[in-house]
Amino acid sequence: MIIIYGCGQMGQHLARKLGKQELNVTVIDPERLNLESLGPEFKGEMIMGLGIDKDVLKKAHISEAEVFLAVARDINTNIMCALVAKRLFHVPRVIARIEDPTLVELFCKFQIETISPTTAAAGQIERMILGQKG
Amino acid sequence: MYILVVGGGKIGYHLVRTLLSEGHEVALIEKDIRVCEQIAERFDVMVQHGDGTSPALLAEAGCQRADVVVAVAGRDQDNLVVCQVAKDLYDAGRSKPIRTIARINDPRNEELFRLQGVDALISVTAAVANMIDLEITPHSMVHYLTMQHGHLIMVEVTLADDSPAVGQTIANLNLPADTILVTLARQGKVMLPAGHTILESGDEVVAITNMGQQTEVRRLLVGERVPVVAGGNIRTS
Repeated sequence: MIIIYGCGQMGQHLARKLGKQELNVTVIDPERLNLESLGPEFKGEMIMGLGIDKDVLKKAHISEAEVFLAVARDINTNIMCALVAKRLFHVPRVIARIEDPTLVELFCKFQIETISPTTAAAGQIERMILGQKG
Repeated sequence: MYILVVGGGKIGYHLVRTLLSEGHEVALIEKDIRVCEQIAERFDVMVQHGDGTSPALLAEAGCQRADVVVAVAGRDQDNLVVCQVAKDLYDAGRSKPIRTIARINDPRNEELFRLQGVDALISVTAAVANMIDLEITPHSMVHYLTMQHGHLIMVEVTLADDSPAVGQTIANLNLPADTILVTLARQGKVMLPAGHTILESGDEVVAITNMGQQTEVRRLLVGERVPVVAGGNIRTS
């Protein structure tokens, strides 16, 4: 089971993609409108609430989750959600969207994997301009 | 001491004033430029405008040489990141570790903050709610003092006729693990409570308990309604 916190553009994209692959996906977001924009084709569970709230995560059955993704726009919320998922609920894989490279390094220590859209996009643009070397 | 304060709201403002008057060197990081200007005008303090959770800005404000970092921003997640960055990035190679203090708004977040090594927590919400609760509930538990950074509290209960504890031995009460009945006053005499002591109506019992268990202690000694915990998460779909 996969839990996604943050139903913005990235969260929605992930929810639809992973949902199509017959994976059991639960999406959490504090805004009802964000959840509704997933549309009727999304068959997974939707929960309104904050991802740092242990009670909300319990509602999402976090103890059964194999993967927890924190991909909200708010980085500090992602960090705290990820820490709650890892340290309090011991989710095997926790991936958080964190932009600051120093913070990325810091939270690796707590077995949190990170994704930085800015760095990833910059790398891709660099390859586009300079051509694919290596 | 050099004290770095993150968050210039009501708590941050008064904290800066108090710390300065005690002769400490203080720096403040605040994200609202107007608040920065106001505080810089009023106090002789270094004010840094920006996001206090940014490792670069914390370094600029001298986090490496700070004795204490106090995170009193409005959101728990920001305060956690401030403390984590201070502790894990800027603590290296120091003889004395940075002491981190965080404000938490949701008392349920306490567990994670402690687990992550934040040294001291200030839970404004819990403190205010407890005080109001004690004022609202008459003949209930009186809160005497707080020990161990707010972890332990000493309370007093006068057992009423309808208390579930009356007629029971202390052993039978099944008090929570971290709770001790320290003394018992009966008809003007002080007794040392033992497991076989049978509690009577009118007994004044003083107990030391864990902050988190006061509701259970109250239920056992006073026997009242279970407090309503605010929820507010709506499940859609």
